[in-house]
Amino acid sequence: MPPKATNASQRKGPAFKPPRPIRSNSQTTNTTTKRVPAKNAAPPPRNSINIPTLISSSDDDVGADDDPSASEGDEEMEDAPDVSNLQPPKELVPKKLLSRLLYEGFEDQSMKINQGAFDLFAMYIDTFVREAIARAHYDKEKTGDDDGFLQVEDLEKLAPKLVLDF
Amino acid sequence: MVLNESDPVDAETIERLKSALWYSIGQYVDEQCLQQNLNATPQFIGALTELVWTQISNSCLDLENFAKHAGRKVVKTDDVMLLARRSEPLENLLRDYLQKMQAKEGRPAEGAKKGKGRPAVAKGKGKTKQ
Repeated sequence: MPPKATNASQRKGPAFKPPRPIRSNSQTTNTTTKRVPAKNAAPPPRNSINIPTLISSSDDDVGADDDPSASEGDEEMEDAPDVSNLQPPKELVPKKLLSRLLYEGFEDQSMKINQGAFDLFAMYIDTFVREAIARAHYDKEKTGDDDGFLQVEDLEKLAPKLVLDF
Repeated sequence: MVLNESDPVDAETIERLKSALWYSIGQYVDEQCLQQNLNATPQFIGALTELVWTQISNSCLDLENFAKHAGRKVVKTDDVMLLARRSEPLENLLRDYLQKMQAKEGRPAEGAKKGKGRPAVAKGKGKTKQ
């Protein structure tokens, strides 16, 4: 295994990089790109915690304008809407429904899930649905018959790969 | 699934749950169609529902077994992260989300074990600032 380990900077099997429409960021954007800005803004929260809470928010904003080093204030502003944006945009699958499905799915009736894990799972399922639609759309565009409806056959074609990726 | 398709009572429950799922997914697909100038047949939505249903069922069993393997009776975020082990982009996505979530909560996420089980999850919005 040593020979392999060297070049494989990432662990595990063949990392699958699903095809993305590179030129037109129109449709797939919704699934994955939405979170790209979030990625960039990821580190700042720690900074924002350090911002003195005593300073009123308006003062903070003014300071941020003049002082380049006070950019954390800026980051915080960016970050806050981001989080809400990241929150499943509008709960693709309602939380209550998912929770029910989840508990029906457990074989062991005493199994539980904690809140954070559940939210993460909801995110996982939402991503799954979005990805399915985005891929269907993408394939449709690639084959050219964009005027047509998304058909079951389209889903059948992409399902194996999709399931392997999730 | 614990629900048994051959049991008439369970079959009806399954039917209802699937309908609910169908509805939510249909809503989303319609919305996407409007936004992206797309069209989807109802059959497509139905098939997608079936796919998502199966994915949820499988994930449930996975999560349960992951937690059991770790000797727990509670599914934690780590178990969910394991679901994404096969796809790196997906894992990154979830990790980002998890970090956001924890940062937002002042990181009680791991300790937030719910003692009362089922109803706990239904709260949904319970993770505002504490």
